[in-house]
Parts: sequence; C-alpha cells; structure tokens
Amino acid sequence: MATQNVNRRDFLKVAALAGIGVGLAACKGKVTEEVAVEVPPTPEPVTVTVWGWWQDRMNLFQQAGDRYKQKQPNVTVTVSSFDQDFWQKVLAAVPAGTGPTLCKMITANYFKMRSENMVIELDPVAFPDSFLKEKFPNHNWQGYGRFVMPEGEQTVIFTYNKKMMEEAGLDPNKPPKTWDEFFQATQKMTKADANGTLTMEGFAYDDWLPFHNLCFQKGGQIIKHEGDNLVANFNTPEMEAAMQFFVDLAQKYKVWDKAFPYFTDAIGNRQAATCIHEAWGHGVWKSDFPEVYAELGFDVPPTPTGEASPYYGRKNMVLGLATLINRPENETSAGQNFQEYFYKEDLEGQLAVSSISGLVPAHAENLVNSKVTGDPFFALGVKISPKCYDIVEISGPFSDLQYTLMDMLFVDKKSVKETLAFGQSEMEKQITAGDITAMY
Amino acid sequence: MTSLILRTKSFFNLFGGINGPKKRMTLFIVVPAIIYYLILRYYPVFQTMILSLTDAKLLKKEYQFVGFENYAFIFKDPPFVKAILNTTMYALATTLFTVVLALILAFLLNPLPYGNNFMRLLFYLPMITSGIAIATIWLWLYQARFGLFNQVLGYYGITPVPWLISKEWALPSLIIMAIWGGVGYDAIIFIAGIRGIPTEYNEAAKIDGATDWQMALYITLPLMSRVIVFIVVTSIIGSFQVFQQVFLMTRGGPLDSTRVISLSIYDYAFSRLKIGVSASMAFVLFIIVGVLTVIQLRMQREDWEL
Repeated sequence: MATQNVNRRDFLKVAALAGIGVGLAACKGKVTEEVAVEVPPTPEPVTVTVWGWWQDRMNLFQQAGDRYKQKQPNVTVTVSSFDQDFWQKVLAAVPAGTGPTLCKMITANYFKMRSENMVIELDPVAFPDSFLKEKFPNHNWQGYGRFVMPEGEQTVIFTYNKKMMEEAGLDPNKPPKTWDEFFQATQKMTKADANGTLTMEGFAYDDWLPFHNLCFQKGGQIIKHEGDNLVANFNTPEMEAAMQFFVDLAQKYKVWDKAFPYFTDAIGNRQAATCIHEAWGHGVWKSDFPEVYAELGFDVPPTPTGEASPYYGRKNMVLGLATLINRPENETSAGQNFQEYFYKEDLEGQLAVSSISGLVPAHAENLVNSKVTGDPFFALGVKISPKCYDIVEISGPFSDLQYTLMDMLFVDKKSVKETLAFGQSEMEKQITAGDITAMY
Repeated sequence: MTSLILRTKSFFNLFGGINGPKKRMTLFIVVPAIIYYLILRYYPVFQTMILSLTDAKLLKKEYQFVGFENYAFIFKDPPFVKAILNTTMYALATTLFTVVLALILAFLLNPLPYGNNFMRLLFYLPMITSGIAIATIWLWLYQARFGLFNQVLGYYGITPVPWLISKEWALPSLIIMAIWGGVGYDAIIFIAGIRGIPTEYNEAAKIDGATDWQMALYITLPLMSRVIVFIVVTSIIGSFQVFQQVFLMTRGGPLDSTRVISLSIYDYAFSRLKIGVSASMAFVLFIIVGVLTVIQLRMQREDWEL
C-alpha cells in the first residue's frame, strides 16, 4: 500500500484552514444571535366601557372612541347611554365590580364617590398639575380635585326677545345692565288682562338655584370655611337681597308669576320676554323653537351696578370622564390611555361634547377656536366665565332645598326672614348629615 | 293537634299523596315557582329587613348593626310622617271615588245592547297607556296659566285653579288623575261581577214589583260584595305604592304636600344614599301593605258575607 507522507507545510495549511473554518462557524452563530430581534407580542385586545346619559352626547364619545381605535387597534371603546336610572345603575354596579371603565360624572354624586374611593386619580405623569392648570385654566382644580376631567362650564346668561323689546319701545341692542334697568324693561314688556292676570310675563326664571346668582352678584357667600369644617352661611344680607329680588319681581313690579310654564317653554312659546338662566336653555330653543331662537338676544346678566363686581352670578362646572375602580388592571390602564388621548389630543371631540350642551369649553385651545369666538352665544360664555362663581358641589338635598325655599316664599307666603332662617338651619343639618362635603 | 294533623293531611291530599307519579309531576312543576318566589320575592324582603337594622350606605361595602335607630329616626322625621299621612289620604280618596264611579259606570254600561265592548275598551285604555305619557299630558292639562283645564274654567268665568302649584290642590290633582286612570279597569271587573249574578233573582224581584234601584241595592250589590271588597282592598294596596305620577309631576312638592312613602324611599336611597334608612321606610310600607292583604284574605273567606 502506498502512503503519502504529509509534510509540515501541508499539515499547517490544513490546520489553518480548519481553524479558519471553525472560527467562521463560531462567528456566524454569534452574528446570528446579535441579528435576531425579539418580536414584541401582539397587544391583547381590550374593551373600554364608557357609561353616560343623553344619547346625542354619548354618541360623540363613541365617535372619539372610534378615532382612538385607529391609533390603538387593540382597544375597543364601547359607549353606553342610559336615560333612566343611570346613577342607580352606576352606584350599584361599581361596588359589585360590574361597572364601566370610565363614567361621565355629575357633581351631585361625584363627591360622594370620591370620598368612598370609587374614582381613580388622574395619572400624574400623563396629567401633571402644570398641564391641567395651563390647558384647563377656568376649572377649579382645588375644589374638584384630580379625579375627573372637566367638560365645560355652564355660565348664567341673560336671554331676551328682541322683537318683544322693540314692541315695548325699547332698544333691542341695549339690553338692561343694572337691576333697576332690568325692572323697568321687564315692566314694559309684561302684559296683563283687565283683571291684572299676567298674559305674558316680562321675566321667566330658571328654577335651579335661583337665588345664588343674585347673592354672588352682591358679593355674598353661602358657605364659610372654619379650618377644615364647612359652616352654613345662608342667612346673610346678600341672600336676603336675592330673595327680596324675586319677591319684588312678583309682587312689586308684577313681571313674573310662578304659575307660568317652565322657562324654556315660556320663552319658546313667547309667553315670557326675558330670562336669566343656565346656558343649556340655549340649546333647547335652538333645536325646539327655531323661529323664536331667531328673535333671541344674549347678554351678560344684569347686576346691581351694571358691572361684575364681584361676579355676574353662578357658574356650574360640568364634569367629564372619570376612571372607576373595580375593573381589570389592563382595562383600567387602557381607559386611562383613552382618557389621555381624548383630553390631550382630541380637541375637536372635546369641543363637540361641550357645544352640544351649550357649555363654554374647558380646554384653553378650544376657548379661542373660531367655532367658539365666532358664535355670539359661546363667545358671551367665554367672556362671562372668569367672572362667575363656581360653588363646586351641588348635592341632591341642597338642590331640593332651593325648591322648598321658593315654595315657602310663593306658596306658603312666608316672609323673606323666615325663609332665610329655615334655609340656614336646613343647610346646617345637611352639612352635619354629610350631604354637603365639598362646597367651595 | 288533631286539627293540625288533619290540615297537614289535607295539604298532601291536594297532591293525592306524594307517592303518586302524577302528583310528583305536579310538585316538579310547582317547585320552580316556589324557588322563584323565595329567591326573587321573599329574599329581597328579608334582606330589606336586615338592612333596615343597619347604617348601610349605597357607596360603602361595610355597615354596622344599629338596631331600631332607623325606625326611630323616620318616625321622628316630619317629611316621612307627612308622607304616611299623604299616602293614606291618597289611597282612601282614590279608592273611594274610583269604586263608586266604577260601580255607576258598570250599572250604566251593563244593560247596553250595542257598543258595550267598544265602551269597555275606551274606559280600559288608560290602564294600558304608559304612565310617563299620562303624567306628561296631565302636567300640561294642569298647567296653571295655560293648561286646558284652567282655560275651560276661565271660559265659564270660574277662577283658575292652581292645580299642582298649591299645597291645597296638588294632592287632589294627583287623586283626580288616579281616578281617571283606574275607574275603567274597576268598571270592567264590576261588569263581569254583575253578569255573574243569576238573572232569576232580578226576574223574581221584578215580578214582585221591585224598582231598578231596589234591585241594585238589595240584590246586585250584596251579591257583588266579594268583588267590591276585592277591588277596594287591591286598589288601596296599589295606591299605597304610588310613585311614578308623584315623581314625574310634583316630586313631593309643593312643600311636601304630595310627598308619599315611595318617594321618600327613593330619595333616601338614591339622593342621600342612605340605604339603611330607606330600607326601614320600605319595610314600614311592606307592613302596611301586608296588613291590608291579610284583611283582604280574611274578608274573602267563604264564611263571610256583607
């Protein structure tokens, strides 16, 4: 058998080649490891539920949810509107763990829910204080806290029928500015039959918290803070003047009658010439009484001096969405992300939601939107808002008390002083019973 | 003891003894209904009774036993005492006028040879109409300045009535509406009752020279006594639970003149969120209705006659 001796050079060549080959093989493995990229797992689909009332408004939240889905395809926002027994559903469902992720809030229940830790605080990273104060400058963050986003403000507006003003010999471009001018103008616009029964009232009133506008215009307050405690401050000269204002309207100037229909119907049916009311009434006239709406003018409410010193009256902050407890963590997290999207990016969505209720929008950039500044009604609200006082909390029992006080004056014919004293004692009882906890 | 044994035996005899296959089938059909009532009717009542002895609030999971504190509170609370008085007045007035008018209607409609069914349908319509729709329409009818009722009164020179905005008229206004809604149903029941009386009695009375009025008073009404009692008691029971009309039309005002027990229950539960107090009010209502039911059942017994 023939053998071939391998010489040293050949051996070394083969060994070198082998070594290079092994080295390359090892490096290729390493390169493979470095190049391999971890594919992130597909986000799990999650459904965010939003509950509220008034279908037309909740449809706007649903549209915002649909827009959000284009950004976050794994998140489905489902909006439900309950027009009956909404709060019974929410207050029963949340402790049971069957409530929604997000809920449209109302002050009457918000503070109680907050005190029972049923609402989750806004994420301080997504919503730092500086952002909230800069972007939502008219909102009372100290009073409401960081648990709910604002939707907009209901300011108090003076509405008058320009045609009726003309018929009464008044200039429709110069609505009354002071209380005295207001009394004179409404007297001229009031009509009565031969028996003295009003056939058209010069003034209709919004029966929700009617005294507060006038009390705040006079510089009064309905609550005092003594340390951490709330104390009723109802029986004051300013509130007395407010009640006397209504008594004078009915008995001295005879421009108003409690028997007349509700203010939206009275103005809409031309049964009343003027009204001081919350801004939402504007939407009712626009949609339900378009012919009369064309005759309406809007201005700042008349004040004792004609100026807002200190206030034009009351405003009411309308609350937006809050995140509720007792939902799965991923759902809560997705809900908070949707909240962040809506209140930071979806300015048009926010504007649509506030406009449908006739609210002054909450977001600073919407305050200068041409849809707001170009509309006389909304522009007026923006002007009035900083000069209106927000009492923050309006509980159900407190709201009911105002109806009782009105009835005491005009059904039971009690004196203003008796009514004031009753209001003071009832408010004290409500504070003691915990029905009022955060009034500002 | 013998009586107890006999009664127990007679209970099982209703099913012919529990061993029979047919009777087992009967039990099988009845038991789900019993379970339904136990879970969905009796358990909530029991739970309400328990809650009424606690300081439970709607938003708080935990609550403590407070004994009869809630009951002491509600009977010292002037609005609730007023609610009991208002509800009692509402129930008695509604029932009295509804029954009397329904009887008159039944006597008038019964002899009609034609159009009887149509008239009955017409009078029954309020019963099948939505309560919310009825309340909304009547709110406008009662509107003090421009409502239809005051317009008609004004046409005849009568001073307009402050229907829902005065303490004196608010409750009667609701009673009038309730009578309008209930008289048709009661009339139909009474017509059925009248037609259930054998005609021989009236024929014999006619032969003896009795007038229509005498026949109605001495024959028809006594023989209809059970039907009348049934209607009276069920009407009172239903009236004690009035809520929808009051909630929609007056909310208990003006000045608690139309505050009723159900409204107080609702207010304390969903406005003040005090479930314990609300449950005690609900249990008081349950007791009242329960007593009336027992009275009705005892008056329905065979050995009772007017």
